[in-house]
Amino acid sequence: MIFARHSDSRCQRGLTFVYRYGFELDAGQLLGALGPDLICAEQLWGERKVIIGILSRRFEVQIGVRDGELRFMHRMSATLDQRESDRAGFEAALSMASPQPPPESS
Amino acid sequence: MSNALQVQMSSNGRRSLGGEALVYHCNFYNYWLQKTILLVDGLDMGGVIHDAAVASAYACLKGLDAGHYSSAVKLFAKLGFGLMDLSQIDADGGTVTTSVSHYGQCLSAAAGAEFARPQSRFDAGFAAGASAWGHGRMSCGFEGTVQACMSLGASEGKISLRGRKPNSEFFRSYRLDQNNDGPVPPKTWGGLDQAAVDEAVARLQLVGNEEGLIPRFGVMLTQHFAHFYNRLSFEFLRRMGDSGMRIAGEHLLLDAGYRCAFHTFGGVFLSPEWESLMSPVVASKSDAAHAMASIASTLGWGRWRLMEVNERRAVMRVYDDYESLGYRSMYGQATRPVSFLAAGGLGGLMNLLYLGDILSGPELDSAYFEKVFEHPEAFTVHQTQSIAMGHGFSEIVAER
Repeated sequence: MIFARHSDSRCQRGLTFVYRYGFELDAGQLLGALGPDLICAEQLWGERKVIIGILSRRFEVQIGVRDGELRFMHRMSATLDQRESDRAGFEAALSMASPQPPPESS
Repeated sequence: MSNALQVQMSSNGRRSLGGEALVYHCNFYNYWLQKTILLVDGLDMGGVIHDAAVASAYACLKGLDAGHYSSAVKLFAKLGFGLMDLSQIDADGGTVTTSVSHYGQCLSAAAGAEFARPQSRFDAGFAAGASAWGHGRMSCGFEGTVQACMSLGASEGKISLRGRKPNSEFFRSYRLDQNNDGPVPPKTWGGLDQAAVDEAVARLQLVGNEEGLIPRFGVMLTQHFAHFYNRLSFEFLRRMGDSGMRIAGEHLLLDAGYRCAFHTFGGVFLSPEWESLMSPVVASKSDAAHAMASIASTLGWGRWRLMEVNERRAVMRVYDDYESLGYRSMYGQATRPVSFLAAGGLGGLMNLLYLGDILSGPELDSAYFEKVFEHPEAFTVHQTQSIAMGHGFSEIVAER
């Protein structure tokens, strides 16, 4: 696993997951892998630039909330099955966005 | 229309839309306040929740002079209440549905148990007020009844509306003048100017998303009607007073303020937003207290200023205190202070910082709440001045 995930156990139980990753994340590649319907934006949190992707009524991704950390937040409208499927799809995209190790030479 | 729904923020921190004062509060406070005022049977506080929502929604839409019925639906979503469909309402009433509802869906996280009664009385009141406005009736022209609520497991909320007779004594919201006629809040912290904090928080765009909710700081926020909270709190106190239980009522409202502080301030302290905005300028617990007061000052609660803060004591003044201003507008000059949210907020803030070491990043769970807020040396608060009683600012002292 190239990232660590934990559920935010506070007030929005089951809706928010925090991912920590130890590599240089290409936010554009990650958001691109989440499909053409994703709406993308940026917000400034003080001096920090946070990149946001929203798939309507399904989920929101906030990239760069801390160094090496992003938040994945399900929408309330998404069904439990949809949430599971969306999270799996997101984790696959996050794995793909990590730098690939060079192929082993024979 | 989207511009017409732009919330105005005055230089003294008042937020308003259509002349209605707005304040941010989270699902935990919304749950605890509603639970608190419904604790005592026989006060008909369920009717107060409904009618306070009617009066607030009606006044806001009327003040916006929005013209089109659809603006009510947009307003509901923008303020973080969810998604409401009013299309089946005609001049005689009909059925309203909510596919997403803050009150229907987001209070369960705060309750930690199944509900026995529907939680969406606010939605019913909002629908009734909006429909009365949309059909040119007096504000009390419709009454809403919750037929199905997601808090009880329904797949969507259903509210039936029917006409009701005019009532000249029906609740009326008040309007807060945007001009500041009170004393100017002093600068008490060198970390960040209030204007910079206002701007930084504004950039976070704390408005309803595409499903009409505001999930931020680990809570679900609403940008709510100040009149609604004040009417609930002070009508509850009035009715408790009629039964000789005024002081008990004050304690209950104070407790709701503690819960608000625990979850809202706790959530903010632990959020990456706090780290980004405030960590660069916070070097101590007293800095953190000042910084949180400056954030609270952007939420429409009035300008909070800590005149003194240390590990044993804090003195806070609230300028443009929304609770006191609301009380005075609705019930006249008070004989006792009424800033229960601010008092609970200060006590909670001090407990989090000086007893709970919130900056070390603890889990905000019930065990932590009990450890900190039921600690034998927890801060106690008392109100020493009150705008509602005619003073220039409200003042609260927290000590342990």
